[in-house]
Amino acid sequence: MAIRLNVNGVERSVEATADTPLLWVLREDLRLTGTKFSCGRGFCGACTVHLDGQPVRSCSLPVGAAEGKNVTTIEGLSSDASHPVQTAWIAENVPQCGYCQSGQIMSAAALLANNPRPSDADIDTAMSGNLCRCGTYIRVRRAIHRAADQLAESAERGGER
Amino acid sequence: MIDPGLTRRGFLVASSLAGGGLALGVSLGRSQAAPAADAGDTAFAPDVWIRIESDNRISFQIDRAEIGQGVMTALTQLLAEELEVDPTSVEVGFAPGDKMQMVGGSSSIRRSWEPLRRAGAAAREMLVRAAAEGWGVPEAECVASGAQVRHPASGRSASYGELAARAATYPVPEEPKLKEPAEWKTIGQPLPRLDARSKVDGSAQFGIDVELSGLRTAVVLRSPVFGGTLAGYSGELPDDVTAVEISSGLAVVADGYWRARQVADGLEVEWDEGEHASLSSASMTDAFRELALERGKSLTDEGDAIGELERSASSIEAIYELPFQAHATMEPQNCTAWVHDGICEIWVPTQNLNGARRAAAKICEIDTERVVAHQTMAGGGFGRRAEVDFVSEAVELANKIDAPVRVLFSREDDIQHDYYRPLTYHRLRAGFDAEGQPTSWCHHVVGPSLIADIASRSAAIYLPAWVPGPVVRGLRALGLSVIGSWIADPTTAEGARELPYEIANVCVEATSTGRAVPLGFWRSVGHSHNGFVVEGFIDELAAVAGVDPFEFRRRLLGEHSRNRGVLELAAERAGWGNPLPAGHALGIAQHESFGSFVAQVAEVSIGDAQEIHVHRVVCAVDCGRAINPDIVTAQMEGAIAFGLTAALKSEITLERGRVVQSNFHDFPLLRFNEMPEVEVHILESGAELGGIGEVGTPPIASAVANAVYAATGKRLRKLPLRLS
Ligand code: FES
Ligand code: FES
Repeated sequence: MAIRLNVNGVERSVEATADTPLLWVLREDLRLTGTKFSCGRGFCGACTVHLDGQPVRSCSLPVGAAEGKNVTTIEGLSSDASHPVQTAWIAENVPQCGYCQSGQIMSAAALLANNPRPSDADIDTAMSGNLCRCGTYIRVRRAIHRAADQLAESAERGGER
Repeated sequence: MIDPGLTRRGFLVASSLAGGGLALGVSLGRSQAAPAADAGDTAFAPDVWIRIESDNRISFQIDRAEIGQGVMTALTQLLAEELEVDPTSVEVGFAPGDKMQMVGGSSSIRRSWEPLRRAGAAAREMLVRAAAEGWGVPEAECVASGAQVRHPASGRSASYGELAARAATYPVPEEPKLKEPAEWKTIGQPLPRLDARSKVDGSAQFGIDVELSGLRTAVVLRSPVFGGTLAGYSGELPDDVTAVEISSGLAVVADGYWRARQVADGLEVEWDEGEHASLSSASMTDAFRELALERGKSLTDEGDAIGELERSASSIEAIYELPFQAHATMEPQNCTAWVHDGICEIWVPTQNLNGARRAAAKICEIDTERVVAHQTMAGGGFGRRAEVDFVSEAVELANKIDAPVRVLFSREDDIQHDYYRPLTYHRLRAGFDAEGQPTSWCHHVVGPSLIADIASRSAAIYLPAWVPGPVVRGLRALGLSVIGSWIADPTTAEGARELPYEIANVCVEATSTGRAVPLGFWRSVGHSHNGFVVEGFIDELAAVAGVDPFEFRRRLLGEHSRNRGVLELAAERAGWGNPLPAGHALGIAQHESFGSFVAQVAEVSIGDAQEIHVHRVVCAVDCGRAINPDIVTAQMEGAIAFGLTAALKSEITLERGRVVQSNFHDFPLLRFNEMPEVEVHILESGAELGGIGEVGTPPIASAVANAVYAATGKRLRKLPLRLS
């Protein structure tokens, strides 16, 4: 059946059964391969995307549940890696193999959108579902704090204007 | 375009590029892992190419896989230093794999250190000569920097691109002059990773991301019991899905992963389970326990360790046990293959591109030259991607269907069909004199032979099938036999056979049994278990001697040993001996592997449910010198996280010939909130370069176990560490 969703600001229609996980629709039908498959069961966070701004595990979300909603993937976070989370990630040299990083970044971006000044405890809660076998956690935390600083700075600048 | 052989000087070859550029081919020399089949091949074949185009674009193809270890960045730094270009301006790609392209043994930087710098220097000298001759000035008056050559006296300058065509006509300098360390601009600097950008915007192309028109996706159903074979299957196969029998099982092929998986899940598959259907971790451990009481193959025999043990005033004995371990790379194993027009093309995230090519060639019955291999980014390696099982599956399938096809493992496939770090069983004994000083050390390692397992998969090495098991009755029933009497597996005892501590009488023995479970290299290989065992037992000796564990080690390490250097640095930076928060305790461990020395101090506390919290790890590393200190630091952080998963969280167990675990719920990885603070201190000894990717893993489990002992008085000798 045809399912309509808005992906990264573009209205899309895909032919899929409603129970197909959103992950495979994104990767195989829409060719947005930045969203990764790793456990397929909601354990690791590699497949994290935003559904109406909230982080979800796309491997475990039937595409039918996303019908008519807004989906944001790593490709839609910014067009040029300029989102504060992405620039902070580069500044802190976070990625090693990089495979988990789309999911880490989407979780972090959702956290900061809801809570621009997260405490370490807030970060623990938001990020503990994102596994990284390369062990980049220390830098992920640093990068989230850096992105928060950056957001605060630009908010201030915005306020002055 | 390229005509190698224009000039040939040792390990470098130059040629011109269409459009007036310069290409320089570099041979990195034969790696030790090179296959015997290539032994007679002395023709020069570059491992990497450096290209300087007439429009001043500089590109560089590396022969190593980027598995997250930062090799792309560090190798580019080596080249850029001598070539005098900005490393961030160099375009880096992967070489297509003509020679041995194996990433393992933490060898990437060590092997490239000399040749790449020489290549950069040679190109620089050729470009300087081109400029000097063009201007009619002495070479010595010209300066190369920032991808151009300048003649300060006359104010003239030319870009490398402008000079490349002329430079390409010169012979390659045989002895290019390398810069002195004091002149380095990029070596030793924390250059940001060159691959970071593509890994934060989703554009990095991993194996799983390869796209081809008409691509089919296969899931493979494999025997749950190792060595089992497909007996038959039944169930509904829709028109758009095909099932193909291959050596490893049944491949279900569809237009996408989800479709293939769904149909595969609906099939009834029967297996002939073969001879290992009753194998279990428990039965293997029982067998190893008995073997450990016998004598093994002697690997180190200094003095009279056994005799001294019997004569000693007091002695202790301990058993250490480590389970099987999975690699669990975040990107599940995969390979895409397409057999067309008389060639076989593969796209694969691998640590062993040439092994992959040979496997493909063998299946297709074509020359290796007709296998075109594309290295992709790899979502983790840790030794798993040195295997080629997923390549064989994809190529076998591609050979049978007329379309490009990707084999993709599920996480369950990945956990249950890995090549595991072997389960090992260690018996340790030590004797003391009347003052409590250790006089003898005996270590007997028992485990299945990793090398025998790997050899059995490689047609290049002859190995007898089963050598009779003379020691333990019933071993054979497990599908195991003792082979230790004729093969001394160097990996089993690596990190154990050369005890760095000064104890007069030392005996290290190994008993290797045959395979029943696929085994493979797991980040730091034998060091990963022996680091835990040796550093745990030495801590026990300190306790018997009544000496502080740091001080005890320090006294037994040679005065100028690099082990002692890192030990002292880690202890000092950790504030060893200073007061700690209530309930916290420190443990220390050090270990040498792959030419590098690492010491770690772990700070732990014990929670209400007896769970172990690791708050902080202070790590000192001496790898000779750090090409990129930030990458060294990141590798230590990562290796500690990797080691902590094995120390605290996960194991692979076998029951009824099957792996019990299947996904991250029962093979849990260290989580974000469990990651300790890590402080890395690099000791720049200037000694020969050591490895970096693996060396941070061996000491961590022991540092934590020793800290748990300091906190509770309980000595944990089995991984994963459990207090209750
Ligand atoms: S792939 Fe979705 S949570 Fe792991
Ligand atoms: S960077 Fe490799 S899994 Fe996270």
